[in-house]
Amino acid sequence: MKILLSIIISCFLITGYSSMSIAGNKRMVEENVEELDELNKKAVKQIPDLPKKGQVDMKTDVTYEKEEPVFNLRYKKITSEKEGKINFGTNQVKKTTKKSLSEETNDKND
Amino acid sequence: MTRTIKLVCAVFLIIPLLAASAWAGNKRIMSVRAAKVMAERALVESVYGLKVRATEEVQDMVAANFIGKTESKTSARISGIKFEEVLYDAEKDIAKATATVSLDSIENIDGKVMDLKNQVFRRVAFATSTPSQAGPLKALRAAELDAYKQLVKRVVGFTLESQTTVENYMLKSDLVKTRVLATTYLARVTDFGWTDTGDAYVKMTLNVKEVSEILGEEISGEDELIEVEGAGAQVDDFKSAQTQ
Repeated sequence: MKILLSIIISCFLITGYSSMSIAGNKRMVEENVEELDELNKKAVKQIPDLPKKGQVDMKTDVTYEKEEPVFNLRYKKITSEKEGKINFGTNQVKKTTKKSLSEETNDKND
Repeated sequence: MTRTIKLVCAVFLIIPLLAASAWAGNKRIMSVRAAKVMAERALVESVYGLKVRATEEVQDMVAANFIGKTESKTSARISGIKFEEVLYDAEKDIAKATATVSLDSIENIDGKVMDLKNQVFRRVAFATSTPSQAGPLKALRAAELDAYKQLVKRVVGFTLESQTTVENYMLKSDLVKTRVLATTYLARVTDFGWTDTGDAYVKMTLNVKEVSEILGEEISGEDELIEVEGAGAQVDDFKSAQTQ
């Protein structure tokens, strides 16, 4: 009987603790981070001619239409990386070259 | 001698009782007064409007690297505010005030005159003078500010700045920043409360059609009714996760 009672009490304590552990701002922050990641990827995908490998720096205005984000790109800089062989006389050196392309559109001083 | 002892005992018994009752009364008055002020602020934010400044930043999409900040500011004098209902929970020392105002017209935070046609605006607010009871109320205010931020982001828009790595046509967000600074007015709170876990929520709507009619200006590019839900927590488990 004592064992049964202690099991019931333990179950109540565990349930209570787990429900308390759900509360807090951590879950809210995690959801916010996920939303930001999704939004950023949507914005970057709007940029034409994305390289296979590289870095994209950008600044965009975001507004909403029918609950969907609409992007107005103000600045972009694409640095693409390509792998190839560079010949310096006799020795062939494999090196990565970087090409940078930046474009600014109506960037306001804010 | 016995009489003197009785008198001393009586005085010793009466003084603490009087002191306790006086303290309880003061606490009640303070909480009720604070709730009324909070309700007045809520009405000013709803009718006159408020300025919202919010920034978010996250690096490598790691939640521990997230920094989010929302600030609000407003200052106005509205006359004719009435209190429909004032409740006080003596056990928890929490006061609840419901304030209403009906105005013909008002100059809002942007200096625009709004023809309100004596519409009734109603807001509810809570307050306590006991710090240990403030948790749920702070969470509710956090949820309210979150809702304002979301509303501003939806109505006015915001700036997104980022650094992204492309690897085999796959995107990886390295740094994402958002920024918004705007004013909002005529937002209505449709629902608020606390979940079973103690987190607060505030549901807000903005009727764009109604606002454009009141302002006499066309507001384009948005839905007719914007609905948002703000969230606020009373437990800061994010900070403890950051330090781990």
